[in-house]
Amino acid sequence: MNCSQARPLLAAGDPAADAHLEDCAACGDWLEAEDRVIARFRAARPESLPAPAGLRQGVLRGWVPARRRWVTPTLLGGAAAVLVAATIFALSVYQSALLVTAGEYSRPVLGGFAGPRELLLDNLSGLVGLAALSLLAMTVAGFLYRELGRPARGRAR
Amino acid sequence: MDVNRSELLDEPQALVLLKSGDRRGVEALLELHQKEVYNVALRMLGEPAAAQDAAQDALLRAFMRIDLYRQGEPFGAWLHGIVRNRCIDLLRIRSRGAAAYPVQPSAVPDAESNAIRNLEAQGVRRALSRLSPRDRALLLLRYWEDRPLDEVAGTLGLSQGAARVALHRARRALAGQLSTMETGA
Repeated sequence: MNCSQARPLLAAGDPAADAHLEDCAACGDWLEAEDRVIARFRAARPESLPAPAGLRQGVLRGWVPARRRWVTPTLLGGAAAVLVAATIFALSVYQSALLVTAGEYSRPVLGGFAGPRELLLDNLSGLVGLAALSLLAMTVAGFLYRELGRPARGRAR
Repeated sequence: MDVNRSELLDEPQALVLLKSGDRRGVEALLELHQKEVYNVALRMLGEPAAAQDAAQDALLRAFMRIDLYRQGEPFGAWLHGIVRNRCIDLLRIRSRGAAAYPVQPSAVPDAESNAIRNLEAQGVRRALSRLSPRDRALLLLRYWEDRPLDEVAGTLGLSQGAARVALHRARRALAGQLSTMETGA
């Protein structure tokens, strides 16, 4: 089908010419020039209205500077890492009777209980690994918070 | 009179401030762009409350992801792209007939020509609100937002050819609705 065959069909809204229209930019332009509904539609475009005051307030309330967006996840991740490290340190220094008892009772089943001291303090690479994992967790938490966190909605009602 | 300093900033200065996390950058950019962003959303969604939500969402996304903005690109065009995409998302999940396009504020009831023009415009907008969300988006982007066909196609995830055909069908659908309304009136 060529353009002169397709145009009467297109003007009549016959879908038989759609395949031609899909490949023919000239017929698309021709249709737009011919179609009176476009002028009617354009004339109905609403005039601009002033932006509502709540829009500005909502944006200003919801906006958080990029640098500050890192503060919350970093502080939370840091606090969690410090808590974990402090707990492990406390347990390793003051191995409680409970842990010792648990180790003795678990020996037949688990073949012995390695306390945190054995696991970490006597093993420097374990401590370094824990610190590295904590840092990695903090970084991942911050990255996810930044990438996936949606802006807070603060529209004034 | 107390003049807000942000009103004196031009766009490049405001962008520098925004990137450094300075609130005055946001205030200045709002001053420059909020009206047009809101009106893009209003034309596309047809409801002031939905337009305000969409505009706010788009502005916040833009300001909080300013690192994605490429220096040299017109900031207004980038911003409008964000709000248009947000509106398209909303139109896609909306049911047919949800929009009630706003009456033009300059309506002057005592001027006969204005009244006739407004009636005609309201009829067209009513017909538009009866179209499918995709037809509505096509017509809005192409003829109210004056976006080129390739951009319309890209925004709606169509090839140029498919967009050309879809636009043709959307115009036919609009003409059909207008004809039905005029016959019924």
